[in-house]
Amino acid sequence: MIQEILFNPFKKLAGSKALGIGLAILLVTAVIAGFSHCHFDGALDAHMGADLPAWVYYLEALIAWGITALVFYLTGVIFSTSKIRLVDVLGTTALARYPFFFMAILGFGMPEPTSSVGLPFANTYIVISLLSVLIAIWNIALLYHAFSVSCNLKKSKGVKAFIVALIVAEIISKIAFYFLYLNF
Amino acid sequence: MPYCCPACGSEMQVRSLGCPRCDTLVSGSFRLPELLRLSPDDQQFIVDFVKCSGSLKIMAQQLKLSYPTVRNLLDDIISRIKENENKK
Repeated sequence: MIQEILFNPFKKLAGSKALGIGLAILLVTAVIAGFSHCHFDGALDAHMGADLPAWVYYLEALIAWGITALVFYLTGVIFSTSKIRLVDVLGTTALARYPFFFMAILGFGMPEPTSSVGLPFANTYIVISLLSVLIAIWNIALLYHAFSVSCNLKKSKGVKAFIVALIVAEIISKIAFYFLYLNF
Repeated sequence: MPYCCPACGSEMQVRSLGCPRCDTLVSGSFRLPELLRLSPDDQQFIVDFVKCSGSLKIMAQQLKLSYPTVRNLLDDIISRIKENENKK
């Protein structure tokens, strides 16, 4: 049961309900990220960075989620034999980003690189980095199940399609963020 | 009712049918109907699906599963039926 909530809540939750919950979590995550200066600048990326206007954090969440969902949907249309619904892909992909909520909170613990350089700084940095890697893996597992359930792509075909879709989403989102950050 | 051989996994066939009223026995080698060649779980899913008037949304509510999960279950059954048809 806990494993299902952690890695595959989409078995029971998808469509507009997942979209509503997912968007609410994205919004709260963007607000927290604004305070912790955590930037979600890619389909899978999270970086600590400069303090930017609040709207940038909302736009980052929208771009990262939107591009991932659209690429997943198009991949599903191409490779799946099922009649897939856009609302399922949008909803499950939004909900799959909930581990980033914890990533945004982790941002508060990140030490300022210029304030103190030494062992305490290094230890905190290592712990946060390790936790970030775990969250990233958790996010990928959730994204895979979101893709698999909403597009009905499983086994080796599903895994291959997911890897390709994720790489494409990452590349497109990186290009989008490049143009976004040109303004700063 | 078993639908595949417990020893080798091959598809089972009906060898004889009997009338419970007059004890007439018809022997032969009859292929199971399409639906009986599915697993009991798949058969139950189809029965539930028909009872829901073919609505995946109602099925999802009753099974407490998401819509795409139920649609995927149906699509998996469809692909198994097609596989069985191709075995003919």
